[in-house]
Amino acid sequence: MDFAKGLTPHTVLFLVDKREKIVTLGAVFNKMNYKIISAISLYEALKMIDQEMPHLIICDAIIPDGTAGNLYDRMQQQPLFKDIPVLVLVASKTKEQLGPLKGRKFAGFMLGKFDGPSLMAKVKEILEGHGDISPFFVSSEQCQLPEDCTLAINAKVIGRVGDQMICQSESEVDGEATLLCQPLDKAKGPALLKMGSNVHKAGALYNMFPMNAVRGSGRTWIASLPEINLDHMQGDTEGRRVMYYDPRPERFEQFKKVLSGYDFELVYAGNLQSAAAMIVRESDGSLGCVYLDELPSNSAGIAVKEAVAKINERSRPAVIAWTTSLNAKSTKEIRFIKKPFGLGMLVETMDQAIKSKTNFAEGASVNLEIQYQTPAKLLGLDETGGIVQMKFPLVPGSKLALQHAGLIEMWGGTSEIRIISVMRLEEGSNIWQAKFENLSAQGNKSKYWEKLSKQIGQRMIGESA
Amino acid sequence: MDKVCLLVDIDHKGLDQSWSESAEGHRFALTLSYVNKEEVRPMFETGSVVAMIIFSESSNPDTTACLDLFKKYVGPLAEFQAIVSSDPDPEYMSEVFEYGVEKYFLPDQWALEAKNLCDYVATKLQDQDSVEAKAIKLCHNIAYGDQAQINSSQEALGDSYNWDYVAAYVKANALQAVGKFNEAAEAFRSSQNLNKMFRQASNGLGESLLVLGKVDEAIEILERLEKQNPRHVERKANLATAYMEKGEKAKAEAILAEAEALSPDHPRIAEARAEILLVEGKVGEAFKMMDNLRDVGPFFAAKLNEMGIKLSQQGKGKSAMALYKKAHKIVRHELQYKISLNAALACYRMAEYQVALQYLARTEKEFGGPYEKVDKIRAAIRKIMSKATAKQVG
Repeated sequence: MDFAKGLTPHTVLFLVDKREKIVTLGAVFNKMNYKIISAISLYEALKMIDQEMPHLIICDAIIPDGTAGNLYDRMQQQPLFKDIPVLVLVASKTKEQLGPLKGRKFAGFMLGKFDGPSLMAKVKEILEGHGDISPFFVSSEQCQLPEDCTLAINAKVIGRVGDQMICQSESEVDGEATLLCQPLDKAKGPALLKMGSNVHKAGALYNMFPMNAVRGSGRTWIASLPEINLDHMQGDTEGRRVMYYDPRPERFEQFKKVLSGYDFELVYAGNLQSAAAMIVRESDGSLGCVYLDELPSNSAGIAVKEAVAKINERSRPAVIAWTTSLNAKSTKEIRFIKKPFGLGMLVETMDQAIKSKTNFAEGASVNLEIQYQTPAKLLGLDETGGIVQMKFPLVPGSKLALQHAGLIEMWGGTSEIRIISVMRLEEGSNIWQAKFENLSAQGNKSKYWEKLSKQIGQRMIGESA
Repeated sequence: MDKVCLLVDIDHKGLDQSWSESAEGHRFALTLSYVNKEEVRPMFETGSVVAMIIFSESSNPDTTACLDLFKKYVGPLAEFQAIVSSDPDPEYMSEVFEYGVEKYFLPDQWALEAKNLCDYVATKLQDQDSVEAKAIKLCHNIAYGDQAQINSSQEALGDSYNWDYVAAYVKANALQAVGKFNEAAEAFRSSQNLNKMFRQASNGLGESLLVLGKVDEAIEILERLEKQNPRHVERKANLATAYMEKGEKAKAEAILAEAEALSPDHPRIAEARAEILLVEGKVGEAFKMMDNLRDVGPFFAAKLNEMGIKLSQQGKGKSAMALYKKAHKIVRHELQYKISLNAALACYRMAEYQVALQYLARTEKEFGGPYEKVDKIRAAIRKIMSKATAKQVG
């Protein structure tokens, strides 16, 4: 089974003899997006292991109340912890340092003075040796669990603004995802939703979907949703003013011509500095949205972001930025679109951006309860949750329900999960994997995992019987 | 038959040498077939093509010609097509979006993206109940089948045309193919309402309204589309025809000149020119021009039928028959049965009953089954023939 590199956030425990060492090591490891926990005694470390179930322990050969050997032996006594790799920092090849390490299967040794890059390389090697997943990971096949499952988000449809359907939920949706919209009212047909975007208003999260891209029998009821545009934006070009930045002026002229056919009025910014200045100058809300051909992470890019942040939420224009990066993730302030893309995508995205400024949060709602659903494959479980695989990305931080009969039973009737990280299986692939945590697994991880492991064991016996 | 994904080489930058190497190592759910622009039509005519990837960095009339062929032989399935271009300019994006196409692949990633596209298409087509599978079958029947087959695959769409813009669009095409232009216009309108960005429905509606003689309404729709993309030759040809119908020849000529500047060899331009000659009453010149036409659409076909009927009713049966013979050769496959029927009527008027019966048999064959109008004419002919026989016996 292949896993996306870097998908599982690793927890690393440092067990060292001095607090200062933790500061040095922590600085190196934080860059790698690892969760760092630390202890300066064997006693403290064992408590931490029970609580956090780290994926790797980096341990001084000699610690105030014991040795790395003592730690290893204690862990071997606990079946739950015996597979956690331990990397030992050996200061010198003395009998005192090397003696307690004999006869034990450590994952590795680092000899001599502290060397950040070498240590990092070794850590990566050990974690990747485990497939870059949790050492506790058990595949669905091993658990005798079917892989097919459904990820679901509860939402309610509140209406439409022009040709955009507006829903409210607790989860952001990814623009690349295709979601099945399943109304709870079975008299209403399902629909496929695409090109979703997210708007935060007055503390609530709204998902917008262009109605033109909706497929399925549910398109019939979606067509009759009430208009909730409280601002009564008129058609034509009112409110459809777009600030456009592209370093190539001839391209601007072409876009201006093409997009005028869709009632957008483009105004030109020749560089990012003048774009930032224009955003501030037109902070009265006259800009419908801001469109950037690129948004570099240099000072010019930061100036644009700062200019947008300065404007009050009600007048703030949505920002659309092109990108060639496969890893660029849209935020609530900036929506990234991957290059090259089609004209319809651009027009719908601009329309969404402009409509997102509408005051629909205070509008009347049809309050139609729905669920966004998407099929996924449950690849396996670990001490915090597990890994699922889909054909498009999910948004990290999303709260979802994982609908899987066997798993819900094992989880004691709950199905709520939170997406921790999402990655493509490999560059260019249309297979995505997401690491999730089971919301009922929060707290003491070993207690959760012990309980689950027992059920997995029983399940395996039951199946084989 | 293998389902094929065409790799159309417009740019000729060595793809013929490199494509198989680039594709190596990937498993494709469809059979990849490399073609140059001359091989595109024959490949479509095999009926095996279900997906298409065009390698064309920038705007090119050959690209739109390929997209036109896909629309005709496979259907309005934008998600089954892609363009390989690293940085398409806005006008190019606009031209391609006329067909709904929005997928662009970067040249160095095309093989992987093509694999994903083929997976997607194969999954959709595995489900025989999917709108896409039904749309392809219906388009295939419009291109090759008879009226009965068109009707049956139209019925297979069920009620999906009420909620799916692709289904509504292909239904409209089917209705147009069986001569129900009023209903076709409604179906195009419904498709347009379901997806306001789906330009093919709006174009179809404009063309249907033109056939129905609702010229002003057609012009309004076509002009709105022109504002969004003034580089679509087929629409320009329709617009020119509409203005000619309205009697605005200068405007029609100006629009046709624009179309010619974009793509001088586009078959719709010659068709529009022939239409203009017919409207002007320059029948001889129009006839000459018709020798170079093929796949003529419903508007011109309706004009030819109208003119043939007029000639036949004026007692110029031979001229009407000459017109029908030519018309039958150049109109789209699905429009031929009407020409045959009108030819039968012309023969009937000329009292050439045996020939009329032959044309009726051809009509029936092209229609694909019993056809009420054919039965009526045949009954009338038989009545006359039996009377004549009785008279002779008497």
